[in-house]
Amino acid sequence: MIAYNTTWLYNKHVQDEVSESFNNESIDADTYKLILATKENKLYTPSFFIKVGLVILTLVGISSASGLIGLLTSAFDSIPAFCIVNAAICYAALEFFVRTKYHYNSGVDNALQIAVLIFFASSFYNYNDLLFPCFCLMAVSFLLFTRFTDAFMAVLFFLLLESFLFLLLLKTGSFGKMAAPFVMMATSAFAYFIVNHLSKKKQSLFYLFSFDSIKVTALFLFYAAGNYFVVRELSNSMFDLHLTAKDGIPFGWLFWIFTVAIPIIYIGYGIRKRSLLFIRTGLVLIAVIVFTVRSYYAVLPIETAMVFGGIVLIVISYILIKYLQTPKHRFTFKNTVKNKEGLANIEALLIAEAFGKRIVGNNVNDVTFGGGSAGGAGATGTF
Amino acid sequence: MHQGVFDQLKEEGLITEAQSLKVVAYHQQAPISVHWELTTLLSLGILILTSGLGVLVYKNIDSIGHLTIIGFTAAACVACFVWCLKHAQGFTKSKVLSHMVMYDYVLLLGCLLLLTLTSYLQFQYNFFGANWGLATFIPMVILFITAYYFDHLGVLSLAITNLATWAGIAVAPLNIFNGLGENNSTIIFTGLALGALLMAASLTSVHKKLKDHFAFTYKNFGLNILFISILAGMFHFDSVYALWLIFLLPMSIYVVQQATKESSFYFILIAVLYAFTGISYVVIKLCMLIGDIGAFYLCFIYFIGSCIGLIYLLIHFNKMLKR
Repeated sequence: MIAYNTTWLYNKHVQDEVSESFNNESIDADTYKLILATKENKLYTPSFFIKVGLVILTLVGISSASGLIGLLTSAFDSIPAFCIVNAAICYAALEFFVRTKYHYNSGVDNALQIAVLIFFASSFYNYNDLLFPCFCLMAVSFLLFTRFTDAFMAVLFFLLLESFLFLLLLKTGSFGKMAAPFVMMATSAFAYFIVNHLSKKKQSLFYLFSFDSIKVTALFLFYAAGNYFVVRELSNSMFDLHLTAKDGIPFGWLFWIFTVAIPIIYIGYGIRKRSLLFIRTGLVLIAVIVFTVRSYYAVLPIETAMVFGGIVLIVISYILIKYLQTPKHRFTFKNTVKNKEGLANIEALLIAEAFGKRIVGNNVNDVTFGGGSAGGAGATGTF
Repeated sequence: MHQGVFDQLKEEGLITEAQSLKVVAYHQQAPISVHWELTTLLSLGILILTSGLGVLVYKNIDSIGHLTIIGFTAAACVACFVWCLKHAQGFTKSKVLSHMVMYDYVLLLGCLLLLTLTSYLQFQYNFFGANWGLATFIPMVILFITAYYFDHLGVLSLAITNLATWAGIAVAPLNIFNGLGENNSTIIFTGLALGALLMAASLTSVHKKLKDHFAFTYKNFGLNILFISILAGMFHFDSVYALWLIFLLPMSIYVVQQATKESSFYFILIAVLYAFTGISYVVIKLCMLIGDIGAFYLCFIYFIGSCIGLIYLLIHFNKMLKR
């Protein structure tokens, strides 16, 4: 089933685990080197930036190749057939790179998998009904995910599965529509528990990252299905309810409870179980709570809310940083990640990216008030 | 962690019982680091607060309350700088090793408040006179001094963006093309000069050992601005587009050579991609001279061939640097 040599996959996993243990100094250098030497594998996984380059180049290459095929065979007459042929060629290329060149998450194989799926999806372009294409894509992404242990395909498979269920529900009429949010929540929770159970099994060693990715997606989907904003606006646009700004929705109070409670429960559970996965998800969702509440009850003008929100965030994180200077309750502020140099550089870039635009914004203001000092034309020299 | 993996290693005799126990103990007892989460929250708070203040100042400019807001901003800004001065270790030529955690963020907050303040002063009182360049020049100088004195990479990035603004290009790392997109030839040449200047700054910091960990930031901005200016020049000056390859190719080769020495995958990637974009533009232009469907055939064949070639090239670099 798995396209890779499983011994190599296992060895790679061992190497990763042992590297982590070496980094946190549970294992000494000699043992580490010995294990790395014994547990060798020929899987090809380049460094991150090379991977990015390979994805871009592969995608450009694939599009040109399909363009050339289209021109040579005048296959544009029947687009579905053309797409299927392209998908088949991409799949063949994928098998080639994986089997003979041992590409594993190298960028080439990731891009080819995406290409297979995109070509396959395009072959359904003139379908009116979404149910059948959704089912087919779900099957294909499942095959790719299981065969190439790819996390992105795993997430896609999960999302397509949930969309398929959603589409099925819509077919059942008004009861299905009413029940949709609850069914989506229930299936997400169910998926989370199944995957969580599976990832504890020994056989699923190669799928651990895929399973974690599905878990995060399931947590987000569980929240989205119960979020007041999502439920209200989706049902408004999909079922033609023509709600005005003041109208509520049935069970509105329940969705408000979900909206506010779920992120807090995530964070609480994450802290109790020492799970960063839950804590991070919960933190992101806190922002969504603020957004949801503000969409319906804007008490403060946005800039005032930002000032107060910013102060609150700074104070909370400051207190926590002070509090966790010495480890407490198995949490610490100490940075355990190696390679701080690289992180500092990335952080600097992010600062420029986030804050730099504002400088630019101010400057644009300046230019306008300066009567076009940058453009020059018609500048009067007075302000 | 999977327990089974370490049990297996123990069976194979690769690790001892004691080591295996140590690994398990670490996973069961060692505290979990929330460094990334908390610093992200803190940065986010700073971002939201300063953005909010910036808008608040402008919106309330005619009301009585705006002096309070300005007073608050100024007081907070001064407080941040005073706090940092008190805790700073003073200027050193090398990297300052033992920063306090809050130090970086307080400094960043102070600098951002300073920017809000200067743009307000200029807007309301014409503080820097009719010379609008001065309004960005003075904050820029302050930011550079701050970055060097307090040894802060983030403030350095802010200073560089401000320098670019002052030079007339609105750049944020991902935003350069928008700034250059106006097809203004002066902007292209300014970009070339600015990029060269930043590259020079990068080289000097290494050679003079003056904050040599700043070199990456300078080089990153410098290279991207240079490459994008060259490409913009290629797209803008239609009649002599191929001539720009004279700059593009040697520069890419030089960057790749340097990057191989420094084992920097990032610079290899951007040099290869920028060179690829430039060459492809020229090839497409040349193919279009044919003027019929054959041009498409040629372009497609070129792209397939070059992509395969570059994929092998990148894989080759990766192997070479891993050694």
